[in-house]
Amino acid sequence: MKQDSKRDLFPGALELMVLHTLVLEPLHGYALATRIRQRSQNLLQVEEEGSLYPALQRLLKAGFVQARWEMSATNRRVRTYSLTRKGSRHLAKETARLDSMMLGIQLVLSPLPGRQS
Amino acid sequence: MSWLPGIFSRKRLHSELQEEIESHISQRAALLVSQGVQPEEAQYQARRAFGNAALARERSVEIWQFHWLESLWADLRFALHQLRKFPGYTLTAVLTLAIGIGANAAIFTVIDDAMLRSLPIQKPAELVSLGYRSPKIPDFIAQQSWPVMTELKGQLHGVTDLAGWSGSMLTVPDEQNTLRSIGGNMVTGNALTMLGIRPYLGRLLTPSDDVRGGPEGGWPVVLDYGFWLSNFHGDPDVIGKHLRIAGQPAVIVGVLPRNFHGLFVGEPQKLFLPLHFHSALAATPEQDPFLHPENFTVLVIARLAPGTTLASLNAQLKAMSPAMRTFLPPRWRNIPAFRDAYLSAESASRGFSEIAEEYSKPLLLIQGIVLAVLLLCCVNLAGLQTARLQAREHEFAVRSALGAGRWRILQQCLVESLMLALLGSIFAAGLAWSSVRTISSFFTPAGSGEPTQIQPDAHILLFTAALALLTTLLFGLVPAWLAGRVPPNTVLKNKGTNARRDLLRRRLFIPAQFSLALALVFTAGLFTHTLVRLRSNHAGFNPAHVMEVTAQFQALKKSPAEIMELYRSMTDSLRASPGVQSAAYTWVTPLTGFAPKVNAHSVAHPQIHSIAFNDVSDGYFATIGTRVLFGREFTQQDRDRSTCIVNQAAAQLLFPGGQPLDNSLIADNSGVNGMSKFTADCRVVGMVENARYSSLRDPAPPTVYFPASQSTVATGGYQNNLVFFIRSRNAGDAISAYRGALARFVPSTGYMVFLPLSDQVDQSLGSERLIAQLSSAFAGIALLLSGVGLFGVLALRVQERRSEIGVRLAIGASRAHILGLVLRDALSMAAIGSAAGILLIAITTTFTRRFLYDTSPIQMSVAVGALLTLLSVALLASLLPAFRAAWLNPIQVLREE
Repeated sequence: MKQDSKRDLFPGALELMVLHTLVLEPLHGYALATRIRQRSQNLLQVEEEGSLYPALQRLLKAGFVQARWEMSATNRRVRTYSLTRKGSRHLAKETARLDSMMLGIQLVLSPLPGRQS
Repeated sequence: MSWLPGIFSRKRLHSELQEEIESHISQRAALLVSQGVQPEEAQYQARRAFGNAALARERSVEIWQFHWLESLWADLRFALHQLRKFPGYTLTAVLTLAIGIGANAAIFTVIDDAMLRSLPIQKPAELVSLGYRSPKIPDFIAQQSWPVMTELKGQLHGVTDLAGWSGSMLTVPDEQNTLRSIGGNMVTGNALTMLGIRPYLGRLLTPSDDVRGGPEGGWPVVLDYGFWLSNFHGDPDVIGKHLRIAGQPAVIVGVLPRNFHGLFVGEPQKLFLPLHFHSALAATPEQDPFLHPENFTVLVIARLAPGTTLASLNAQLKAMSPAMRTFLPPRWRNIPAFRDAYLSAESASRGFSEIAEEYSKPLLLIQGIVLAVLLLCCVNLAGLQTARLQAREHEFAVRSALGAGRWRILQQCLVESLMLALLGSIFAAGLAWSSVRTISSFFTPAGSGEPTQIQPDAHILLFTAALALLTTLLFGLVPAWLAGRVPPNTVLKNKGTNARRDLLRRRLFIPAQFSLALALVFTAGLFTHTLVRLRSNHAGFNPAHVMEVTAQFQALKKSPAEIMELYRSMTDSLRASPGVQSAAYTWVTPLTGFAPKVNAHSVAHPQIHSIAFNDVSDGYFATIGTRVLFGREFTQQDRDRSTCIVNQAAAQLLFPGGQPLDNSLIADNSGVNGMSKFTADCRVVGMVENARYSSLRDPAPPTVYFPASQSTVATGGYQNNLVFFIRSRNAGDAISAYRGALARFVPSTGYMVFLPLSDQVDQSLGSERLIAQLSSAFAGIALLLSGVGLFGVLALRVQERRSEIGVRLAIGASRAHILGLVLRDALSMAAIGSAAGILLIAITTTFTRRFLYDTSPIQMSVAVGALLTLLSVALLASLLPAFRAAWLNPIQVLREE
């Protein structure tokens, strides 16, 4: 239970990050985990890298990403995930929703006038 | 549908994830190694960063799972394992269910076959029968005169086809080349093709077959599949073979499909010939229906055109009725009840079933009885299941503590019950399939040699499957519900209490079984009582050692006087045969449900009474065993209706206070009973004891007997055929005597069947025998089940109370006391059950009353018998547990503690 709350900032956040990371190029699991950590400047790291895989399967099932087995640069057989059109539409919609939600949270959490101590 | 492949390639999903995850970890490890970490340490760190790999894999796979189905599969495997682990329990449960479901399926099959199933033809719903209705006659008359049918064929709209069907007994050589009379249908050329059936072999009849004199090369005949199998051994080259039917050359042109036996469900017709074959059978031009169609009636079958409804057809027919009156046979026009008759149509989609007409009520009663048996099986199993789940209480508590939801446990228990029910229903289907033949033998009509046939079909499987589901819920739900309700900590901390379930069993399951069993035993007792009463009824004749055989003279081209002479010489020859004590012949066979009536009065008392009559030969009363009280039997000199014999009842009615002998009696026959109109003025020459006539249920009616004469043959409506009764030491003598007489006098005719008169008596009690024997069998099963159920509960209770009983014995309780303890327990359960059973009986009497004869629906002797039976079964079932309890060794028990 503890793991879950730590892993996901909010339900679906990891999936959203994965989708966003895939916008630039198709990646395999390990690369995805590394990329997410780098991009968040280590602030947000996928707490347990293992939790990436259920998220990827959820996205596959929803049809937001597709997977293909390929040979990597280091000559390994890897499963590469790429964004589908449906996935990018979903990403755009969710990002917009997230932005407005963030704005709302910021407004609520901003310091209250006259109560500064 | 993207999840679909997920279910089916679970293995692949697993291995791919495995590979992906391993690859992930080794990539990270490789990176760490390149940063200078020791390989082993790198592996360890990479794995730690990844977290629980197995969990990640499980979670990933889970996303694709149809979770419910997966858990069901697991439950299924677990259930199978459980059932294998406890073979005794499984066997008991499966057998119990097999009996309960099997009995229901068997009876349902009969009902389905006779009353529900459509004929195996194309669009059976379109098939209608055109006949008559009359406000004064309750039943639909599915007959039409030939002229009316011809008229209808030209005028009726809304039907695509119209065919005529008629039947006759036809002689065909059997395997030993002896002639045998079998039932055949003569039909118009389109009759078979309009049904849309495909012949198994060859072709069906066509309109070009149905011409006067038959087509070139002999009369075309289509065989019934069963007849082809039995008489031609399923010879595929049978098409084109020649055959003599009723002395006429015929050629086999086809074999009907396996499942279609004509329109008469349960009575397969063996041969199908063109309708014009009637002309070939006619002995004289007067008997040729195509030359004299006024009295020729057929069954008219039509197919509704698309868009026509039965109601609109009926409206049309009713409008046409007045115009059709002139085409009616003269003999119908004079029947008073027929005066307001109008043309009408009825659905013929299910064909015509004798069973449906005569046995629908008994069958529904039996279905009710077997449903009660099934209910009892369910209650029994519910008790068993509760006991078993109780034994597994610990398991459920552990599962529940580990987080299994209540529904999850319920589902698992139900899956197990369902497995049992399905296993049981497989055996049940087999049981039903094989017992249908036995049950169908009850439906053989009195006097017919051909056993009725009932065809089980795939419906039986559907029905058993449905019952399996139903029983699962009935016997599985309550125990499963209870199993899910156990609070885990009470069970896990100590053994916990199960008083509640024990109470449920003792106060509900066992008494419920006993109440059902009591009701079943009592009902069976009533029906058996009825059967015994009917059997022991002095019928007024003695059926033992009498053989009955119907002459098959329909095709003889002789005058009635010649036919009569033939009967006399054959009877003389029979009487002279070795082993034969006496022989005679009669127009009507007793106990066939038919007893024609005449209006009669004596000269002294002009009051007219409707009394039964029959035409019988000399020596008839001696042969059948009816005593002549006064006067004499007929002799060969009595050759017309100028003499008669009355029975006691008729004598009292027609000659009140007087002497019937040598007095005159006037009998007037209106001609509606199969015998043409006549008026007889006869002298009473004898008085015989009362004899039952139409059935054993009806008391012997007042009856007048006339000498069988040429007018019996000419106007009796049975095409020259009277019935011989031969009294002999044994059946073989009668049969060889008859065969000898046939060979000597009429080698061109055959026999139909030799039927002992006692069998005829049995067959006339078909529905009573059916009800009495089946209900007794089921009552026996009910007793056995409740006995075993009680035994199980008591054995378990004794086991549970071992230490208590041990202590009691140790502190001085006598063995008799312990014995009484257990027996009291058993008898209290039986007593509660019996009380409930008596209530149940009170409710059922309204249904059973109509099936009883000379038996009160609360017959005391039967009630006492049923109660005693039940109590003895309870006692028997409790003896072993009781003795085991009483002979416990207290020292051993206490040491075990």
